[in-house]
Amino acid sequence: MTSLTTRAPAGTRGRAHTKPHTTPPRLFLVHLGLIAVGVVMFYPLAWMFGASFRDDSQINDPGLWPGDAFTLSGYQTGLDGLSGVPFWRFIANSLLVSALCVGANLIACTLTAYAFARIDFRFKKVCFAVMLGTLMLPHHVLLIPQYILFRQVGWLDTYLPFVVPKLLATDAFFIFLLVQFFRAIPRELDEAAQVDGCSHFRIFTRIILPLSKPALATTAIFTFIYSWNDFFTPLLYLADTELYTVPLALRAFIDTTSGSAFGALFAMSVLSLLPVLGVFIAFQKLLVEGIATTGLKG
Amino acid sequence: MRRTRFARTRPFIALVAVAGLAACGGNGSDSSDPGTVGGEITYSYWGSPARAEKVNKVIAQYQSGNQGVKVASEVADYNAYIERMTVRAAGGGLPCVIGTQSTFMAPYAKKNVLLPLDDLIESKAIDVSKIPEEVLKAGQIDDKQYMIPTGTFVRLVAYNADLVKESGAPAPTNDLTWAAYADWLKQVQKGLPQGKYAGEIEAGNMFSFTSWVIGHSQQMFKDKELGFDKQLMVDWFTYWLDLQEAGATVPPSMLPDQRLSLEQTPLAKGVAASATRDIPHLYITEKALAGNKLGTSVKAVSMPVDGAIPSANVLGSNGMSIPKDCENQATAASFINFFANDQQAALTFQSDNGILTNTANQDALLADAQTPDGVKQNVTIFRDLTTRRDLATSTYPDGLSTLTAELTRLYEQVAFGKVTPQAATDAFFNKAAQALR
Amino acid sequence: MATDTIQRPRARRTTPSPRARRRAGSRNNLAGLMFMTPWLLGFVFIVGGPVLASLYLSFTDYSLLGSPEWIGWDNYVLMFTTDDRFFASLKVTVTYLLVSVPLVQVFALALATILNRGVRGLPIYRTVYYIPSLIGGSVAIAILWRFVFAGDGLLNGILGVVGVDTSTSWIGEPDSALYTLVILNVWQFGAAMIIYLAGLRQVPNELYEAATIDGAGTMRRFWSITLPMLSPVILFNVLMNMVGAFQAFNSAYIISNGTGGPADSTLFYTLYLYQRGFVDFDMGYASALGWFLLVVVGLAALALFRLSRRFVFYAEES
Repeated sequence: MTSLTTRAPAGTRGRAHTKPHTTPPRLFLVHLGLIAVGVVMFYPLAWMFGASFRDDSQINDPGLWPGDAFTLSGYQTGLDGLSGVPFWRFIANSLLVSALCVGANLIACTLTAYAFARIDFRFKKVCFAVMLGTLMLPHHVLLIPQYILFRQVGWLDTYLPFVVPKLLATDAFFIFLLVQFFRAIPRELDEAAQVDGCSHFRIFTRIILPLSKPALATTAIFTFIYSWNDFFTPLLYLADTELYTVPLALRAFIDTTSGSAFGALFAMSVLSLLPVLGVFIAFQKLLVEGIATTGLKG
Repeated sequence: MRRTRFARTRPFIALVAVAGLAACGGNGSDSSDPGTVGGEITYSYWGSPARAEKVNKVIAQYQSGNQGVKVASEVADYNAYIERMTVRAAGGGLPCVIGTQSTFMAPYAKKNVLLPLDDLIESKAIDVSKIPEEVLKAGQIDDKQYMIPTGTFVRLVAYNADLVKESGAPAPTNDLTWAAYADWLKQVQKGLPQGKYAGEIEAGNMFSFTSWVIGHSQQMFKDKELGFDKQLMVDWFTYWLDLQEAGATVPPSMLPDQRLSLEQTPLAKGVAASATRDIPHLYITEKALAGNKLGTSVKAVSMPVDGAIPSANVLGSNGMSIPKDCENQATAASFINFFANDQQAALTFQSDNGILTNTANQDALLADAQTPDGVKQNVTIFRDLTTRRDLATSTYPDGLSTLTAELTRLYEQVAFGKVTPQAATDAFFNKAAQALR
Repeated sequence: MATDTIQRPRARRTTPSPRARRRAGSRNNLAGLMFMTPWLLGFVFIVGGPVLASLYLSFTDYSLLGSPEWIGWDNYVLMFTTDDRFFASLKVTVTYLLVSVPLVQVFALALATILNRGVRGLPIYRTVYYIPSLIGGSVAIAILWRFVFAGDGLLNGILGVVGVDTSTSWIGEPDSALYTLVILNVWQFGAAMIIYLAGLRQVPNELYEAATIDGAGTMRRFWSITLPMLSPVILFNVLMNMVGAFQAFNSAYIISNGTGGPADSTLFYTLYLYQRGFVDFDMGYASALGWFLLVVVGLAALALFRLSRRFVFYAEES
């Protein structure tokens, strides 16, 4: 066997590993299989989309097209929202919280990551190990004291319990991602700036950040998606219907759904998924690269 | 740095430890000079958007009759409401008027969260003259009035008249015994088509179980313990297990459906022919059936009774309370008084949360043309029960909510054959020993 | 200082004077402290402090209405002796983990391998397979899942179309309810797949070529080259998937309506913890549950790392 080297010749890396020529029937089967898997996976989603336009009486129809039972009443009812709070309000709330979380994460995680990647300070190794440890810490062990703390400072029924932890760099996943990214930026740039008398902060803002756009974008996008889908934090901390975010509103909607207003339920579910899908489609490439790098460097 | 970190955590732990003590000293969110009616208060309650509309109208009426007073309102669905209430009770953030219920009032009364209203009643700030004594009792703990009942509910055996007729069985009567009830269910089942069932599974329902206990001449609670024999509970589970195996009740996989909103229960969907329901639920169920194109009437008969007990129809009540740390008690009392006694308000609210308690208003409601037939029916049924003295009471101690949830959960296990009735009973008794402490 | 002017970046590598080193060191400490302030505050108040507070609370009886009452080991004793639901929730969570994690990895790796052969339309397939990962944890999808597997739901409807007549409520029967959640987790294999795809691209082609020359068949190549080269990635994916499975909550909550039913068959550990802490408000006990989870996840991760020493091959080693 040949020795296993780590660096492959330039030409063969990067491109997908191509097999010797697959016979057409085989290729066809492969595609068929892939398509079948895709269809099975996607069908429920497509169905829910169709069902949101379907009259409630026909809601059990497993087909995709509403056909005769087409109606917009699901959306109309759904948008009426809960207890007088229209659904748009919930979407706005979710947008607000997600935006704040994105901002908070970007600020806090980049600062922390810069310190780990570029500054040599006492106890750095310890802090880094601890930070990695928090990656695997089940957050449920923190739940109750955090709840008591937030209650004590009067932050219940506000968005502060969502944003402040992010502002205090508790999202270790992104810190880690950014550290890896920062480390890849050549130190020479830093050193050149230091020669010019730049403080760490200026190096951070003038050099590192501008060069980190892909990682920043990945952080922003994932934080947005996670925050948008977050159900547990609002469940714990939000009591006032007017402050509800979309996941909580959806759950309340199932609770209070009278009769079988599934059309409205599906309509709101579809609406709640759209922003995530939109963000994905817009930033697909970044997202995929982002995930890929986390897996590899880990 | 490590040292500083430790030093920082110690005060935090102390903070947490003291949190509970500090928690009770919160401010009420409402304020005004405590003696006079004025300022702002908030009324927090549970209900559907439909109820919210009615409450808002009542509030508007109150505000127009009391210039300068503002009443804000908050509504949530029942479960969310209870959760929120506990949290706020601990943090001192309860609004001045809160909706309460005889079933969950005890822990708050016992832990000094609620204000005893006897003084306000004495001073006629809250007039209870038109509320019958037995109903008032439901709002008392240790002889102190903690809640002004504004709506009563009584659990009865409800049935879908058309479906029962279709099955060829006779309509049930007011003097069933439990054995006769089981026979009746089986008879109904014989005449029903595939996919329809004679009854829902009542075994996991605390109210139905209470009726069973009372109907067997025992009581639910005695001091800080359960007041009935273990065997009685085993028999209860076995009773329903038998019916389930005979096919006379819905299958266990429908148990979650029974806990959904009223309109989605098997009874309301025409899948079950009978189930126990509170009086106010009767016409709501009728409406739901009509909505599903299954027009029929939903009637009710008394809960079965074995033995010489006059009645096993247990009375419970919804009402309003004032938290101890409300800073605007005069206004709160005035609003509660209005809600419970004002005739206009009664006609507007239309007894939406249980049969209204003020007897004069009951008359007014019956006489008013605007009142929906269903509501009139509720009041009539309730009056009928009172006249016949076909009502029973039970106590609702601290820990009841835990046990209610436990009963539902335990029976689910029994229904799926995961646990024997005996084992489930033992588990229930264990839980009660803890919960009723 | 004029003498410190640097001509070439590399020149810095000569030993600086002790005074300069100390100054640089203290300057770095200060800068480090400033940049790390958010993290430090966060660690103390949001993470580290709560972890310790949670430990303290686990030895108390605390229900929000009142103050914590020290009861020593009582909570833990209760947990391990009389609490059936505790063991039920452990069983449910571990079953969920042991079934779904391998399934996810197998699907992800299988599809990544197939796609890596240079299939046309790769980006489309990748997108289609990935989207479920994005939205799978959301309430909307849990709602959809509840409907798909209900007695009168989509699955039974489709089965009806192909002639299989059934009205079993998959989420209503304790024997099948958990598996609907497993399916939901497996549905989200896309993220892992993308990581595998990237990992596969890193495998040097010449290894495969050399092996083919030596006469190795497809399967042999897969087992002897692909898997070992991918093993760090597999470790990462399994670890993340496992930690995620221990913390799963949303799907169980929505599908069982917060009950963990039917008959506690979907009672994820986190759901049980939530019930004890935020429904029963038995916060001391819930803290004990939380700490136990911490210990279990820690042990599981440790076990995984130990295993990895035997099976994971890092390309830097020869």
